[in-house]
Amino acid sequence: MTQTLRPVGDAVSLIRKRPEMYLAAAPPSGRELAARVASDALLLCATRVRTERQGPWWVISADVDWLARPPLDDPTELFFRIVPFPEGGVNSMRSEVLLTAFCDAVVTAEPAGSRTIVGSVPPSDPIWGVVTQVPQLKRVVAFRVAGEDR
Amino acid sequence: MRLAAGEDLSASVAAANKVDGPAGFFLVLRYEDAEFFALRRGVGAVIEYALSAGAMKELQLSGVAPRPIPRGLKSPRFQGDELYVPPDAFALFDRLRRSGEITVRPVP
Repeated sequence: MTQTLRPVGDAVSLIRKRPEMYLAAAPPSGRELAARVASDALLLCATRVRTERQGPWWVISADVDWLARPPLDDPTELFFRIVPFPEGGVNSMRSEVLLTAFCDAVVTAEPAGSRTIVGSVPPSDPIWGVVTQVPQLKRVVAFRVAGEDR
Repeated sequence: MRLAAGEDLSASVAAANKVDGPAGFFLVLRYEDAEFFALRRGVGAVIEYALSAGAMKELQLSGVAPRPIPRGLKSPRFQGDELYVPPDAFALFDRLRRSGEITVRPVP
């Protein structure tokens, strides 16, 4: 074999290049993305999942940290890779990477702390109060879709 | 890498690398779908299998035929079909490849 294998590019670029494969409709809708992430949490054994709109932000929270599950050691990798999702059925994938592909800001929080995944979110942004205000919740993910102001 | 170099299919490797669904060797018919499956395994590359009409006929006589890619609740909208080669058809597939009825090359 004289030809060289060319690795496929990164997952986020691939998804952005082919939105018709990964979204029900274009342009990306915060409502669809929220439904996808919330149903991931449900399929991963959360019993209490809350989805709400807070200004320009969509916020998904649950009583279970649905990001902290195998196969990844670092749950934030879910936002940057296409990860198999057997609980979602054959040939399924986790939804968090869709947020990275289609949102201009994504943040997440757990009892141990919070962090920005995508974009620049100043400490003064009200979202930080929202994602840290409910201590019985084990995980919060919030995101903002560009051009989708309330 | 091994497949691109012309290595035979292996039932034990297929079983060890199974993600979900049945073990076997899966060829998708559209490049867009191949990219998805390559990345779902982490880092991957796309290699192209070209099957002659004779190879397709022999495979179909063994029950290997194009079919829609199975979808779960969380699957993308696939762009094409797949060819599922179960382990009991690996020997036939390898024989066809060695005889030149099936050729393999990396996608440039």
